[in-house]
Amino acid sequence: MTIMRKLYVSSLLIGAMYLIAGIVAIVNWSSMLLGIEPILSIGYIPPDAGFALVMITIGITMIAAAYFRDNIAKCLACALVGSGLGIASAFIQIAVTLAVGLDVIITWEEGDVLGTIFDVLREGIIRADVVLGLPALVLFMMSYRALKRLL
Amino acid sequence: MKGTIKLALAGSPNVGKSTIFNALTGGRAWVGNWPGVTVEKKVGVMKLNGYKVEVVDLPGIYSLTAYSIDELIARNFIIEERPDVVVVIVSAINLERSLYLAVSLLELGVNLIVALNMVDLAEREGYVVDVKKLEALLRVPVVPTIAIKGIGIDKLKNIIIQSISNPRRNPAIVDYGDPIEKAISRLCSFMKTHTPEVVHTYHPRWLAIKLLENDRDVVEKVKLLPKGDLLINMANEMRKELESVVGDLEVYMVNQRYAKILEIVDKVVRRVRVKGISVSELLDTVLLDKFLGLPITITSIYLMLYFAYNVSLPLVDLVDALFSSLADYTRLILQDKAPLLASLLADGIITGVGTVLVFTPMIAIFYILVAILEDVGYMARVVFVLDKVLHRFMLPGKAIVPLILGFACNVPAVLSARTIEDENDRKTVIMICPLSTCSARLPVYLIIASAIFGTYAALAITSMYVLSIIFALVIGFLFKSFIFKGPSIGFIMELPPYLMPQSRTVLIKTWERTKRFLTKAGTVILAAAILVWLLSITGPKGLIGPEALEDPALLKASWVGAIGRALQPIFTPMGWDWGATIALFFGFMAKEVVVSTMAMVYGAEETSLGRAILAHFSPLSAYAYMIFVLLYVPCVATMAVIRSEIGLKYAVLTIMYQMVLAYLASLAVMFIGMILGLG
Ligand SMILES: Nc1nc2c(ncn2[C@@H]2O[C@H](COP(=O)(O)OP(=O)(O)OP(=O)(O)O)[C@@H](O)[C@H]2O)c(=O)[nH]1
Ligand SMILES: [Mg+2]
Repeated sequence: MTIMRKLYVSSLLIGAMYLIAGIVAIVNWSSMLLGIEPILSIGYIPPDAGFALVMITIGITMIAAAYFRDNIAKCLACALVGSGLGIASAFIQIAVTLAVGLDVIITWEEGDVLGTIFDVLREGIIRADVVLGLPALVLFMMSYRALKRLL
Repeated sequence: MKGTIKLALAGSPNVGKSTIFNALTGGRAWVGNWPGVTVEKKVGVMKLNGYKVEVVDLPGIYSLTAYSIDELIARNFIIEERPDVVVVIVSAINLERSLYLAVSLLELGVNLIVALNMVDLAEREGYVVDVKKLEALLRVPVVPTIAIKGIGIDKLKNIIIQSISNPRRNPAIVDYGDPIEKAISRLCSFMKTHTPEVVHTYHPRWLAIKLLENDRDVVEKVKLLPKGDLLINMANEMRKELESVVGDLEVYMVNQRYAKILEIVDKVVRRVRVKGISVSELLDTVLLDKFLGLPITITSIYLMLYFAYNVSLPLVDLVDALFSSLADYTRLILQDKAPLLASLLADGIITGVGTVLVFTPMIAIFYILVAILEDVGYMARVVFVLDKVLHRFMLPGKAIVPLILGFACNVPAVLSARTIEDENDRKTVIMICPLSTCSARLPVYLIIASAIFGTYAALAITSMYVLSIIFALVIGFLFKSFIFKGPSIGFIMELPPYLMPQSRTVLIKTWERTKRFLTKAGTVILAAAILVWLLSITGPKGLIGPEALEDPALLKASWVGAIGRALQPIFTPMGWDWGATIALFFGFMAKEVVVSTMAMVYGAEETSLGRAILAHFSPLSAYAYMIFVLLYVPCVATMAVIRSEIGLKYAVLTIMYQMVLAYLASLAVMFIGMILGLG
């Protein structure tokens, strides 16, 4: 059972990080909407409600793994789905960033194109959803291994 | 040529009928991993050993007792059109349920072949079905197949050839026990001697069974035949007698049929591996969870749109650049020789149609994602999650299929409401279908959202999807409470297994949906662009000339300007100018036309449509505009299909309520926004 324990504890921790990032994003978004300076300005958490939606969903799904720790199947499923979504959103963000970078080249008219691309890439990739994709990947592999044992 | 053979493909929903249809005929019937994909019969042809075989793909049915329109289509085809061969597809992972139809078809006395599909999935779940034994028990040929891989299709074809010359029937598959069997044979011999006409149309044993069960539809039809009354009276008397022994006869006979099926299943299904937990079940504990299901659904829709919107951006801009150079080039070579033609092509057609076509990459990517989710089986889960919500709004669970299909296009969505049994429910659902935000509305959201909301565009667009569902639910609730009263029927949806998406089905669907988008651009939107152009260069005082499309002051004097300004006061509270108004006006033809009209009208003052929109809308008025476009009226094609499904009266009613709703909703957005100080 130590495997399951390790699994839900990591799921809880990683989930909490997602949740915090999501909450910060929603707070900043609301303050921005009301025309106030971002309250909790943190570099790589964009003030974006869509981002917040994704992060909070992933966060609560992962945390649910700990909540359902007595039900092995459900606990595992939560970790699996949560981390799967986490990986998906990281990949999507990377793909989006590359596409936006490409778009800069296509629509470029004047100015420092390389600098702009660099900014786009840095802003797009050093973001909480991409950064947290790594621990999500680890969690996914852990739960996948546990799943194989269960089957 | 030896002649034409009629072959029907029957089976429960989602067992793979359309996949087998495609494999047999090389056709392109839509396949999807959820029940209720096919709602209309589809005919294809295959050449087989000198025969011309007409293959008919039917909607899924669980039994020959039909309740909804799609089920009636399937049942009537088999009973009335009497195909020469019926292939019943049963699912190896759901044998019990899908055998009921097979047994009913046997009783009907048709020439039957059983295709045992999805044997790969049965293996994955750890059991095998003994085909030889099944064949012996049913006494008709059984062919194991894996339709998506084409395995077993050749064998199926061979068996079809054999059964043309050597029909296989087994109407006495179920033994109903002594007193009932006696009654059946008495009825049969009565038919043979006294009402031979009846026997020509129906198999005597089946008819006897249905008369004893008091099947309403069959009784009605027999009544019309000569001496039919006699037969019915005789059956009624026998039923009374028998019911004193076994209780309700219909229930008893259905139970006998189930008993037979259980006996068969018990003999042919063999576990080879102990049942562990399946991955599908495991994932469903989370994806269908009371609390987690809904946020995961909304997140998936958001991620899908976020991806499609941004990843297609370079392509969209590329196509955009292509069209504007095309317009410039056209002007360059034609301007001096034929200014009117140059303007028609450049300002009218290329600008108008081009603004819409620019979004083809984005829409194609969106369609690919939708098709993948359908194929994986996740869309069916979305349906399931929302079903619980629907119930609170007194809507039938099945309503969600049309509403989600409507995200691609409202026309097939309206048709798919055929699976809904209750007529009032069906009317309600059809009338709320146009509230489901179809992809024709996407270009409008996209152009406005990317101009005004920048990086939050995907979020603004997602909110349209969420609002679209909310409006559909609320309006549906109101309809059910005040106009189409009645209880709502729950919907026990059979969840399909999670499957790997098939590139073929994904590509076919994406292509066909994209093709519809392109065709529309080449027809309706082209016509609209020419019309708007004509009305821009002419006015109440006669011809103005193509200069109107470069000079806002001249444009104001054109028909477009005149109509726009006449209607504009209606929208003063929302802060939309006459250009935005006239775009809505022409949008009646198709929602994409809103965009193409804007491009032409605003093109007079600004070269970039984005910049023009930024100048003419505040964020609040832009959002209200998006909501108005979401709600205000179904497109012409949707109106036509609503009319043909439930009548003109309801089509008109739909248009009227949508206009009122759109106006009130956008007004409310402005009002609330003002209060919050967002104006
Ligand atoms: N693994 C596996 N999947 C299959 C097989 N046959 C069909 N499928 C899949 O099952 C799903 C349903 O197939 P359809 O052909 O649309 O089923 P249908 O019976 O026409 O369904 P309705 O029209 O909704 O009644 C699709 O996702 C197919 O790819 C099979 O033999 N094996
Ligand atoms: Mg089908």
